[in-house]
Order: sequence, then structure tokens, then C-alpha cells
Amino acid sequence: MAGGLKIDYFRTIRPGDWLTATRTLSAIYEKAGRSGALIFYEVVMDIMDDESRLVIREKTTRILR
Amino acid sequence: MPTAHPALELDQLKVGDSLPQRTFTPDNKQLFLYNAVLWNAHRIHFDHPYAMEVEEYPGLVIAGPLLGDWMHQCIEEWLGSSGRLMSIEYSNRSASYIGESLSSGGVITQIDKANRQVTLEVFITNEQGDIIAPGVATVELT
Repeated sequence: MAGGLKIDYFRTIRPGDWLTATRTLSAIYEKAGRSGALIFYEVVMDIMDDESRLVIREKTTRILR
Repeated sequence: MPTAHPALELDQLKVGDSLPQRTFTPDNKQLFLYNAVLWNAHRIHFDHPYAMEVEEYPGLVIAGPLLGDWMHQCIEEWLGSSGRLMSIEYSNRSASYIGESLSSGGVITQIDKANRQVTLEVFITNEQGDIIAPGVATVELT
């Protein structure tokens, strides 16, 4: 399930830009939910332009039950 | 269309100002298409008997990221071409289901005149007025 998102938009993108996204599993942990244990995991996606400048960083939190 | 909105003037914004609210009543076709774009085949979003019987939801679950996209849309429509969205953070606190009407909105919580940055609380509410997805965003006026 979707748990939430944090997105930083650092630079404006324009037609013709080449973008490269890298996703990294950055955390995984357990929490007690109303209906039992829940597993949370976070994935950080960095999007860089062709000059290796960070354009967008997105951290997704997802929940497994 | 963003261009139809009047330009925002930093000096005229006040803490407590509200962003225009908008109500959405997604149907199963919109939900199906949205999840297809995300390559999300979780059956709670399109298979009603599965959602009810196997995962014991009261209906088809509205995709969490869709609520976040409505918050983006709420901000972008208010901001128009007067600035840019710098960051947004939100959580999906409780589930919502096809058949419900949800509303997006926001309020200005902080204005940093020196850096021309405005902080907003944004949210998605259900028909009872409960916030099911709260968020915080920062925009920069040009």
C-alpha cells in the first residue's frame, strides 16, 4: 500500500534533457498496526540530468501487511 | 489552465489564505487507467470481489498516489506561472473507496519574503471532512 511520498524538485526539466533515475532501498522496518504487524519500506529515487545534477529526489514509503 | 489564473503577488498573500478547493469523485475507469499507468496490478484497485473477500476492504481502494497527485494539481493550479513547486511531502493516513467524493485544498502557513518562499499545508478530505491525506509543500514565487 502507498504510505506517502516526499519529493524535492531541484531543477526545471526541459524538452531534450536526458534524465537518469536510480532507485535505492533506503530503509525497511516493522510497526504495529491496528490489524497486526506492518512492514514499512522506503525507496529513494534520484533523478539526475546529463550533467549529473540532481533534478528530483523522491522518497516513497510503502506498507506491506 | 494555469494561464487563466491571475498572477500571485507575494505582498498580497497572507498566512491563513486558502487555496481553491476541488472535489473529485473517481470511478473505476479512472482508477483502472491510473493504476495501469503506474504499472500497479494490485487487485484491490480493480477486482471488486477480490478486494472485498480476500483483502476484506469495503470496496475498491482509491490509489494513494492519486491523492498526492491531486495535491500537486491543487498547488499547480493556484500557483499557475507565478512560481514553482519546490517540495511536497504527504502521507496516506486512511483508505478511501470508489463511490466516495474527496476534496483537495490547502492553506498558507508561512511566508518567507526574503527568499520568496511560501509554505502550505495541503490535504485531501473525505465527505465527513476528515483529512485522509495531510501534506506540506513549499513553493517559490518568481
